Amino acid sequence: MAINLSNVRFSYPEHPHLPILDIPSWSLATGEHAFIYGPSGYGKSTLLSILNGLLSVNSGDVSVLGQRIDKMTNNQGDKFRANHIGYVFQQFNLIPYLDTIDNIRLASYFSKSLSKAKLNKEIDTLLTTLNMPIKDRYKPVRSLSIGQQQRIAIARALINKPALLIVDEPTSSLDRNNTNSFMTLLMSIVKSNDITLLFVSHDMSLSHYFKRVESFNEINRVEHSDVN
Amino acid sequence: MLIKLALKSLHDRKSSVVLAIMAMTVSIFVLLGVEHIRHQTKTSFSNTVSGVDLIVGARTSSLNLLLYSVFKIGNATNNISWRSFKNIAANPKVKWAVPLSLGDSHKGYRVLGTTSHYFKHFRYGKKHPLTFKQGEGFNRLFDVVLGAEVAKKLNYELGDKLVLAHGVAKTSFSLHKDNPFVVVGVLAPTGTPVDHTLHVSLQAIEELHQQQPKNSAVLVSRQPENITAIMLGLKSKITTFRLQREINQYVQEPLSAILPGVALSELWQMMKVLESTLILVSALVFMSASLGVCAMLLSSIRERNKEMQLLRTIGASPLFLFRLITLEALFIVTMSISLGAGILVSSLFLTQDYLVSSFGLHVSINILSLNNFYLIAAMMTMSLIIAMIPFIVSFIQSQRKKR
Repeated sequence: MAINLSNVRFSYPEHPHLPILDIPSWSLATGEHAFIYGPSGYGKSTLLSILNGLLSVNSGDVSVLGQRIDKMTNNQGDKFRANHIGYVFQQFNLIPYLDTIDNIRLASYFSKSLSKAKLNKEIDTLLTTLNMPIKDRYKPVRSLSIGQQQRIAIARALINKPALLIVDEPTSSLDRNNTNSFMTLLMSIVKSNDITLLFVSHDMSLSHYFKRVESFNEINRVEHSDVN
Repeated sequence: MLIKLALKSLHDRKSSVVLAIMAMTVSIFVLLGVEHIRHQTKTSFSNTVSGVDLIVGARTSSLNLLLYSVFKIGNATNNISWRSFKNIAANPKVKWAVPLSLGDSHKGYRVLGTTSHYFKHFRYGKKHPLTFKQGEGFNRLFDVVLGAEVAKKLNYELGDKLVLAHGVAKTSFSLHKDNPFVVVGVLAPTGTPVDHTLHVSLQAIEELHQQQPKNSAVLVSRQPENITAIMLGLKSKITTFRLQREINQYVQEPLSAILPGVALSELWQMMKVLESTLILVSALVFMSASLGVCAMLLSSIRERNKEMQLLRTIGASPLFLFRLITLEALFIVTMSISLGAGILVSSLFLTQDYLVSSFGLHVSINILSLNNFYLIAAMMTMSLIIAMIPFIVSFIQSQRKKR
């Protein structure tokens, strides 16, 4: 199992009586690609923060790639995150003032999984696969288009060869054409690298890329009426 | 990677970083400058005279006596008769006595009439004796020994002739034209009023003020009638206070005896208010600059918050973020300190002559001192703490979320 949740409950410490998540049971098999849809503000991003260990649950078990992430120390969590999970978000995936190469190197720096020579080769391969022109690789990423930035975000997420890739609304700031090419690229890379994919979006039109499609409301039993 | 990230991030925010550095630089410049000048003034002050146990003059306040005899500022209220000098010098407690006679000048520099014992007994700083850079002491009646600054400013060399003026004004109409003096010696720089003084023999002073000049070329043992002050060295320090009492109660003539060290510290006490004001001002300047840096960091924290979250997500530990922020703050502070110190040294270098000639302040260019080191260390710690406040706040928040 790539992800296994059981009896997970969560509320923010500022509002202890306002439950955000209540998930009796949910799992994602290794190698599976799942699409979870639901309007924004219903706790999807909170769930992702729990999966990457930045937030702790009030009760319940959270295991990611066979490890209890809720039981890890801060330090173990940081290492685990760097080594095994890749992330792509809607925006602010990259440090804006670093260039493409340095952004990817930074991710590798925290996992320390690759030697320098190997890293350079790996970055080159990834960026070539993602159709990043060489002339754009040494520009600060803020000067690149959003479509390009999202592609770099994929490269950044994949550099440490993660077993699990978590993607959160990656296409909301892209237009139709860019969205299609982004999705095609993402799915082909994920398939060829055997990566488990958890894809979260409110955009149902993307669901045709996935075999497993679920509504977040069916996973989470908390009634959302007054959450912003 | 850490250093690269810090540098690139600073570069990215360069306008606000430059502003912060400028604000810090100015405050460090002011703080170090005030502190340095204050310290230097105090040192050169208390180093003006040493090895002299008592200074005797006509009855006056101790400050006035100190000012005219040592600093050559102001004028004596009255003179001492030569007879009193003889009596005091003959006192069994006295090891040596040097008569001082003031009242003449040369192009604004004071002239001191004394004996050759002056060069032997006078001490400054940590008991440094006076040394000759060129030439030797006066042997003949119209010989003059120049202080270092006098020789330098007026471009005098050995063998040059000069004329003294009556009174102490910069331009005097009453020149002692008939009796030109010959430069026979130049003293090494001392950083004390000695540098601004011309030294001649007591007899020469006496000769100048005689109504009928008689140009004898040899030092004859003519007795002067009056002198201005006496410097005394005692056989035993223990007797200092007893002798001071004796002199103060001297019946033939109203006299005052002062302990130079005590009078110097009294004089310094008078400037204490000024000194404290200076410290207060520089502390305020520093505080405002620190607040400026803090404001700069706080204003960028919204933007940086996302950056920090991103770094956390891709696996950076809180310690990494802590080091990143500390490094950036450290860079700003180090830059400001080196800039501030650099500007201070170069401006001291440029204004050194001006400070000496206009204020009589001898300020050394070397600003390295333990005191300044502590000051710099304190500034670094303080600004680092201020720089860390935003981070600590966000760290506590993230810890609250976690537990």
